[in-house]
Amino acid sequence: MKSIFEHKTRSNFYLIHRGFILLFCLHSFLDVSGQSTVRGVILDESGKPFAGANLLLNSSKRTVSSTEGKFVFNDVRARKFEIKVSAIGFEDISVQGTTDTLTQALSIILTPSVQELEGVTINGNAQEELKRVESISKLQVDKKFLLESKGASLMQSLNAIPGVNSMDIGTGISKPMIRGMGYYRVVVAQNGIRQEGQQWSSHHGLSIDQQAVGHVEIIKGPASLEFGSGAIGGVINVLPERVPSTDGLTGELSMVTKSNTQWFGGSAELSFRKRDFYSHIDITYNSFGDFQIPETESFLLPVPVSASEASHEVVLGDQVYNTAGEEKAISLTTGIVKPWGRSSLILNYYATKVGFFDWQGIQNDSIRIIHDQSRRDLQLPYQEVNNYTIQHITSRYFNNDELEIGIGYQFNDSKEYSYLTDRTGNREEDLNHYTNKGNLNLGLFLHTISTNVVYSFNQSEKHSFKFGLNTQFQIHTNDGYNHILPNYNRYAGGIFLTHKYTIADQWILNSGARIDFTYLNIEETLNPDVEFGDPVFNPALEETYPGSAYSIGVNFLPSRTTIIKVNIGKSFRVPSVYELAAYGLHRHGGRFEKGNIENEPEQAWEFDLGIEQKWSDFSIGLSPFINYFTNYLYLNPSSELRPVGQVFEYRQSRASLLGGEITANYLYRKKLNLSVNAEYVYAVNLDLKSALPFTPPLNLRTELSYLFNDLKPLQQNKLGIELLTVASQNNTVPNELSTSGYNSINLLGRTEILFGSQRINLMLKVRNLLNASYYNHISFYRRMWIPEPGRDIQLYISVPIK
Amino acid sequence: MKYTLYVILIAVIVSACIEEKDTEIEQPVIELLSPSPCDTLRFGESFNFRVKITDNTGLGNISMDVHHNFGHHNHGVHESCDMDEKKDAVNPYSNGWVFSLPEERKEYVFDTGITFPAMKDETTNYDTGDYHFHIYVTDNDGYQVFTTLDIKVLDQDS
Repeated sequence: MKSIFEHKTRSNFYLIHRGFILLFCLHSFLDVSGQSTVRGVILDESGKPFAGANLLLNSSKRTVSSTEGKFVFNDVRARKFEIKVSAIGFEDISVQGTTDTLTQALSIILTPSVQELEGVTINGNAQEELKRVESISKLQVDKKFLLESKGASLMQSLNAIPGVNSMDIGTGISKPMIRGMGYYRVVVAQNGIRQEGQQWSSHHGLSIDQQAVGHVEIIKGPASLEFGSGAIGGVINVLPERVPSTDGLTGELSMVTKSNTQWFGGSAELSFRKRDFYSHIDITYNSFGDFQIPETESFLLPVPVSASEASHEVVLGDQVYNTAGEEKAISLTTGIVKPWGRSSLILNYYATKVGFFDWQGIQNDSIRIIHDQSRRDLQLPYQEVNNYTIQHITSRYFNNDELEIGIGYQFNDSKEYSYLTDRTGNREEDLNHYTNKGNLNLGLFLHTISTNVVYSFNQSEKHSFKFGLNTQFQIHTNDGYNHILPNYNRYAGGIFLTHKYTIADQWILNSGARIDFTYLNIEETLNPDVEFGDPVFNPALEETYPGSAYSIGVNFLPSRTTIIKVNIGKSFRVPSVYELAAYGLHRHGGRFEKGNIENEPEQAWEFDLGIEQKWSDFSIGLSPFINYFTNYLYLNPSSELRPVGQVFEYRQSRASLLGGEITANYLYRKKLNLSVNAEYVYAVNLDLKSALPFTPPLNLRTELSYLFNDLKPLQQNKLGIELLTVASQNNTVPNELSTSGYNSINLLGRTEILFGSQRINLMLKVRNLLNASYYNHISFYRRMWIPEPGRDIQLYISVPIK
Repeated sequence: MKYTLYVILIAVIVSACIEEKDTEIEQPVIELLSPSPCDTLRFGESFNFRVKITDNTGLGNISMDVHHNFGHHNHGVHESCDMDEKKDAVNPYSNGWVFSLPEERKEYVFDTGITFPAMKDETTNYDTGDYHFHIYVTDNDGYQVFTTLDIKVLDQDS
């Protein structure tokens, strides 16, 4: 892609700013009318004129590049000038020069703020820059990465990143886990605004359409500083599509089909731009059937709900009944890019309907027959989630400073339909009511209004500050025959200040502090059935929790190829309402779960180290971490048994998680790429001197890929093989099964076919090539002895429209 | 490389705090004494339910339930007996009990009398045939184990 510039570099280009900005003379722009005018053109990485980039001259004058990418500053008085260029999705660039030596127009090439990737290895120049200036472990991945590592959901795609795991519930639902921490310890944000759904739940996924994701920023480690309570494990921040670089209409149609689940899906993307106005629309639809597994004799039922369905061992076969589902999403973005700043309005609608394995039903032959008839049908139990998001984000420049205001509203509507039983005969009326609502078992409705205000001070070269204010208002209500979570209101607010001090070229000091408060008002819940269970499910609670976070880090950059950084941070997390006041049966887990209103905010310290070294074709990275919690919140099995199962209660304990990631990458002649990534977490409950639940095992991902020469009309031909080696996990808590290790092989092949000027992208993937039967320790169905999906052949086709 | 030393130092300190586990990961053990597998019990009659439970740390709760096995299912951990023909349940008997066990005891014989209801009228005219006793035991670490017993429950007069 960059080759057209490479041959010009020798004669016309000269490199400044250490190879990141290419500034060269373009003869077509020779019409410079005088020394007091600075003009030029902005080009994107593929050499196309880039419209809408923001330019700032000598911290005082502003302009925006035109449709042809051109810009002009008239009446430049100072002899020396400095132009700062910024554009969404690209690295900021600073170009210096003197007007009297400038006889030609400038040509400035933007570098995407996400790295160019070889295979699925995180490696590249722009990425390097982000790593160099941030003391915490922060990285970005782009669309290309997401395409090549694409799984059934956004989290399954990000699973290829060392230190990031996906907790899967069959094919349709996944949750993020970073460095062994999941649920409420990872913040998922969209455009910097926290995404709020049912994070506590082991069977609620992210309400994000991965097709509409432009790029993703991932923070591994404590990030409470900017994201507030909960960001102990890390942050997944989904960033928007880039502003289209040219006027007019562009787009892409894509299609996917997968053999294992009989998946078919498609999505259409359309972008429109006219001068400083732009608009994006993404529409996605996916439909999939029950997932197939290597032939498995039987599975284990969870602990029974009633005597008649005790934990039978039931014949399973080669498909997991009732795990079919569908996904629908529409997102619309409209925005403007102006010299004073930019503004955008984002509307998202995301809906899924996913079945849960019907372990209860298939014990009856009559229901089993119904499931056998179709792989696509959805019977009880199933989940239906509708998520609506509106966001408005505005940036305003004040010379070098920037003010960003983001306002968001989110409504997450989540319903579960299941078999309902009246144990005592006292709830006949309720039972009829909810049976008529389609067997509504649980309905959870969460409204969230968020605001983020961030002011960045960049006046001084050595010091830059960021001051931020975040607020969040939440109202949660519930419905349904059964109960798990009470009604509540929650208000949270926090302010933070961060400081980046560039001591010298080689040394950067990052520091920051934050204070927070969270007000919680939980409604009391009474038992509707006086004869069965406790009279009060959860007491009322009104409480204000304070919170604080600090962080200090140093980056030492002895050369362009070496990064050494160290960071110490303190994060916090206010207990979730689930951990305070849950009461109910977690049916799929076979557990009766109870919150405890005495639980206190979690406090965590993390020590983080990052070392990276690059040679011309070889690079290694090492990022160990140690986490210490004074009061880690976890679900602890108690000795109490109830007719509905064993009682698990939320408790707190000192805990530590330590581990790290190692990456190594070797690129031979820009063709053959070998990369090895390893990740490991050791989790320990320091009070009980035992493990912590759901800790991912040590795993090693080895990838070998080869980029073939272009073979007209086939371009970008690539073949890759991936070997995933996972160790056994025997470090488990009471009642958690230990899981043995496994190997899994995946294949990837991709090409671009050229029909005249029309490109067609083809990608073929084979997951679990050998159809091996293995268990994923952190997968939801693992507890029932259900293995991971068997061989899956996937075909992706995408057609860009110009 | 100075930092590497710090990391090693901290790792040593942390690992020093994490002593070797002295809590053995041991589940409680259930030994069924009465009734015996494949025994025949009768509606309207009493019997002694006796199990011996051992654990390394101390005991928690015991729960048991009785449920029909007219569909010939299996819980994976018990021997099967000669069973009647498969049949559909019409009015199967099911019941459950929960008891607490002495927390301080590492070995205990739990003994209780259980009476199955008599088949007097239509509502208690239960299906006879193959049933399961399903028993759960927890210890005070929260470990849970279960075992199952195949039995036949017949009419009092038969």
